[in-house]
Amino acid sequence: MMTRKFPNYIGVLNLILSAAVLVILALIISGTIETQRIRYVRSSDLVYNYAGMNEAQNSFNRKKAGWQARIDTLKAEYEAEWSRYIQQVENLSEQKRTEKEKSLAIQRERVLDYSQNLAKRSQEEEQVMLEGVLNQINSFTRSYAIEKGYDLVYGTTSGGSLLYGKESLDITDELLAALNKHYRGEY
Amino acid sequence: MENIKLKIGLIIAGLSLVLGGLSCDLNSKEIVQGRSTQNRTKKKSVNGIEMAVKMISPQVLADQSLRSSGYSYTSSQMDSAIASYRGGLNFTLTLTPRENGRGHPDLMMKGVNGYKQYADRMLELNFRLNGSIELKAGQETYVPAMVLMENTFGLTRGRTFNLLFADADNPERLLNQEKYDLVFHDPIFGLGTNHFVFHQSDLHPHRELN
Repeated sequence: MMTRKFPNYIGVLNLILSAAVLVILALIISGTIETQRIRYVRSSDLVYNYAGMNEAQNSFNRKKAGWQARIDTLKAEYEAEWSRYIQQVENLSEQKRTEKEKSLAIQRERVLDYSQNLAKRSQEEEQVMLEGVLNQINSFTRSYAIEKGYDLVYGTTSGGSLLYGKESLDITDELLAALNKHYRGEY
Repeated sequence: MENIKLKIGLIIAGLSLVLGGLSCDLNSKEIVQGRSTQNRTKKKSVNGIEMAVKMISPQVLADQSLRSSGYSYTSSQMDSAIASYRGGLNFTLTLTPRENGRGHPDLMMKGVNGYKQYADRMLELNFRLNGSIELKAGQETYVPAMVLMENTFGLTRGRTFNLLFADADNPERLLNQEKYDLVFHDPIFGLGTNHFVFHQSDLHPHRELN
């Protein structure tokens, strides 16, 4: 009797274990298929509504306004000096006139040099500012996509290759909300 | 019997895979939330560099200082030490490059090509970081009274900066704000402007001392 019951017990156990293995494999496979998800974002909306971009832009504009004010002051000083020279020119000796013209030419060169250097510096700082902002967006988008299980996140641009995307695949608003919250450090 | 062992092995392997996937999700979630839940350190990761900011209360500094003496201390000694540390507010900022096989893994060398750039990096990190950090608390904006980079002698990839803020007119005003926003305007690594927000509750001593 005992020898007959034992093989039956093994058979049932076999069946249960096989079913469990199948269920686990099915879960793994379905999970893999489900996580292969693609989404897209409207890149320009994301960048220009990003709080980090707005703050960086405002800060850069303030700095630029300061530089412009300095250039305006130097220009005004040069123009005042030129006006003074024009008023006095008839009473000046030949030598004094030459000296004054030389000094005005040097002053004018300085204003131009300063103005050109600031324009170059402004361009460099704007590039650094944009680089920082774009790096923040890229790094956060990567982490966000990993967390949400997205396999691919496209960015639409006006000259880009993504011509159509179903609205339900557009994650711009949710990504922007998370990005802004993260930027403000309020998490 | 061999057959059963094989199937049990398969089940365990399957469960490990599923659990492995779960733990991976948890890590990425932590990155998005941007903080470690264990020690109240605020973290952000940009462009392959992790930034971690920790607020250190006067109580913690006093405790560390008294413990380092190696002798036991009384509560009045502790009170006295806390009072001496209430003149300012301390933070640490740690910048650590992610190890990804590209570029040099040490912060001092990241993106550096040649001695001139290395010398500039040393100067920048050792002496010029003051202008890139500020603390907004209440209506006030404070610049650091001190920024000190810890020398690790090349033993770690990252570097930690000790930051001290002080309110010369009213030290208690700085310590009694509800919200603290430490702002780091990175001038070197393309990290942009980063905010790390702390609250008065983060200064609560018992949480940090435990």
